[in-house]
Amino acid sequence: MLFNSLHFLIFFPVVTALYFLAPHRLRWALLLVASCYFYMVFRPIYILILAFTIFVDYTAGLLIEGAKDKSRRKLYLVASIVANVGVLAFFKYYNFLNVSLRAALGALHLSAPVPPLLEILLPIGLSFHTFQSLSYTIEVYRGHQPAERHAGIFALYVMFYPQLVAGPIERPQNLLHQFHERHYFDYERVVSGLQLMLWGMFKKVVIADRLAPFVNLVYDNPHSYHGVSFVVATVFFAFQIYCDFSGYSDIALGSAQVMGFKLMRNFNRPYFSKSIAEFWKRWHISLSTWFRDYLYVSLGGNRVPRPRWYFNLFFTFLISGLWHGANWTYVIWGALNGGYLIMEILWRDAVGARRLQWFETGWRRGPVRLLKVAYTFTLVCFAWIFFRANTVGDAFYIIAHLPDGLRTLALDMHSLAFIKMNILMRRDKWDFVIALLALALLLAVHIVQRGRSIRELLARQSAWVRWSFYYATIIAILFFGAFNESQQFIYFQF
Amino acid sequence: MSRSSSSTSSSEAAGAWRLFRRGLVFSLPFCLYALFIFFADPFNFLGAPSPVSQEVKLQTAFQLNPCLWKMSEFKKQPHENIMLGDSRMMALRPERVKEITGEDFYNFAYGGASLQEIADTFWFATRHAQLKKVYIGLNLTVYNDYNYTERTKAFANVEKNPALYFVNKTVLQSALYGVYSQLAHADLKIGVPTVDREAFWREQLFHGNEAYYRNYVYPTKYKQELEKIARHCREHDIKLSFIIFPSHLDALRLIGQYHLEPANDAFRKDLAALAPVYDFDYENEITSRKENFNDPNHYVKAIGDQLIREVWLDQPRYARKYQANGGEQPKDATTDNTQRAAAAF
Repeated sequence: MLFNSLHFLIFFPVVTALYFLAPHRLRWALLLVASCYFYMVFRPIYILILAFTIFVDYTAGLLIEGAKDKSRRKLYLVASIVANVGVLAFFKYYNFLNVSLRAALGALHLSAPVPPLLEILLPIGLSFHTFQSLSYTIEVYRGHQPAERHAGIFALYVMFYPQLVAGPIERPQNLLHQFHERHYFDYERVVSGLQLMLWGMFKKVVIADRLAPFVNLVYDNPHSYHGVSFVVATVFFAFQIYCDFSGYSDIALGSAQVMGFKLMRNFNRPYFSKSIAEFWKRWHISLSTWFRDYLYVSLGGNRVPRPRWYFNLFFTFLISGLWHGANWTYVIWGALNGGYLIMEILWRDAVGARRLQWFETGWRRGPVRLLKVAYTFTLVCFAWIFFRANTVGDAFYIIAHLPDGLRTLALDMHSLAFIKMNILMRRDKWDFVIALLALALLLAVHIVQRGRSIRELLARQSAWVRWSFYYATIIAILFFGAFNESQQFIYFQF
Repeated sequence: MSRSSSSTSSSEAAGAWRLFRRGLVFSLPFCLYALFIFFADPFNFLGAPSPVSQEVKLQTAFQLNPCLWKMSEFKKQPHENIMLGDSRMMALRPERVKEITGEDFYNFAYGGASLQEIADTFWFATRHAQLKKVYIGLNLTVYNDYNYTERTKAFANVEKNPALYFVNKTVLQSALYGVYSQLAHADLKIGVPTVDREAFWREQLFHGNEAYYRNYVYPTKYKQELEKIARHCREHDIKLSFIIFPSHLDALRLIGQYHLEPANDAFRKDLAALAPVYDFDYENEITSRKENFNDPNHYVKAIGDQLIREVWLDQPRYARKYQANGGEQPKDATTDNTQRAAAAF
């Protein structure tokens, strides 16, 4: 079920009302049934995959906790990891590995029996709930989390519908105990949750879905465009993916908050980052911290010799790229980000931290920070080319043709046909104008958010102001939202 | 303990009741708005009993978005014969066609239609009717990649999800105009020119021709779309014909002024390769007389009737007829147009 569907508009109030009407001891069951329904709307049969994951990790948790010696605990953990990663590998990477193997054999002029390709439809949100479930067994193994004895509650931990298909990827320490607690109806909290959902919906349908057609036109047919179109489409994609994913996260956080659950924050104005390292602390936080805690730290983190540290960073990002999708474009995207981070470290070491600090003192502070934000955004956008391109070839084609027409751009901009074809991508100019205005609003909100919370600011206003704000947002969503070309959330495919 | 739990549950109930009450009040304007659209129903999409008369709806909704109007109408009453194109095709009267051929035609043309919309409309019609005859009216201004609008998408989306009808900006605008026009008994004269003939003539030349010629882009994608349509017609035994409508010499001269003769020739050749073409758009007795036109691109009613006779009865007099197998072939612009025009009479 999509958050931006009529279906959810009915589902959410009904489930929430039933949740508060139901006695506390039955609420977990109600939420579990609702979550199953939410998931089964996509493809019912795939609920069995979830059931398998839940069974394996629930059992593993109990066995790990009950095991007397460390080797046995490790054995159960490995079994859980193998089972989870096995499911992920089969559904997500089987065909990818198969095709890559065939290509490699072909390139080497070798012939070997390769198993056939399978017609597999990727279960929605598989990478998310697999990682969430895995974090449970790892935390039980590390002794940070007691094993959950209530199978229903554990199932709910894996399947909780607000974050089931696209996160945030929760940790058991944060979420599991909340299912045991009683949540009271709190008017202020409910309203605050609804506000967050509204903002998330605005980001999704007014910004992300309005930008999507521009991006799709160019990236699905790059040979028909050049230079300026690639720049426009890539910058638009940067905001599309941000608004799409952070919009989803806001709706997830908001809907959970309405029922009294607190999920972890997933985004923190990432495009205001002043370095790639900072960007990754502010973008998809739940995944970045997952990889940091469970992969990067396990590899030794930065408490190893330098070359090994670089390898750890690079490898973590490579895997993070692969996590996003079974395509070399994602792998290159991950590698690129790992490379950026290593370069940043090398640069910092070469110049020296004190000298870098000097740049950010006195009058230089503002302009230097602005430059850093611009530099980070440019690097991130460059990496997005690989993330969005359909093939590695397309990505390289786009990069090679980015400078096309740059010299004649000023002249070309006098031609309406040029603007219509290469900037508006033949779409209605109002689509473009509305998208730009919505982007300007997003940036303005982010700037205000630097110092204070918009919701707190809003709470201090009179009812007239608050209601006018709500009406304006809803009207904007209804009349300027791109329902016509309604799309799934991008991260569902991961 | 029980007192505290009962006070919690009563404060919970109070909070829930407060939210419910406020939610109701908050949603009231949206409910009223939905009711307003439901009863105004400017495009007759919902089929509700509407206090706005059909005549008023034709003066408002139809003028604002003929595309949405016609698609909604066609869906309810499909026809097997259709006419597609822009305002020039829209000016042809299906009643006149019926008078001379006895065949019912649905005029599925819209003012300012792009080739994309024409193609979309064709595929829409194939989904709702077993088509027999299709006439498509085109000119160089339409056979141009620069001419790109997609109003047809709105109906396709509303058809898929009727809730979108309530949040469509044209529907809201039409509903407001319709209700106002009905209550105030006022004709809002939407789409009626407000300037005198000469000024309108110049304006049309500038907006209707020059803007398209200055930014002309050969429509590779549209050409493929037309080929698909022609193929579909052949496979399904649908009679397809093209009409190139006359424009006044003032408009025709602009083609040369913008050096678009090769594009103009390619346009005719592309069409002729697909189906019979009736071409009125060259220097001839119709295009050289100003009294035959309301503006450089729109002929008067009498000329419209003449075109119907020539095309539907297949008796070309002013029309040059091109077709892939036999008949006159479109020639390059380098040929003497005047000489050719004289030969046509």
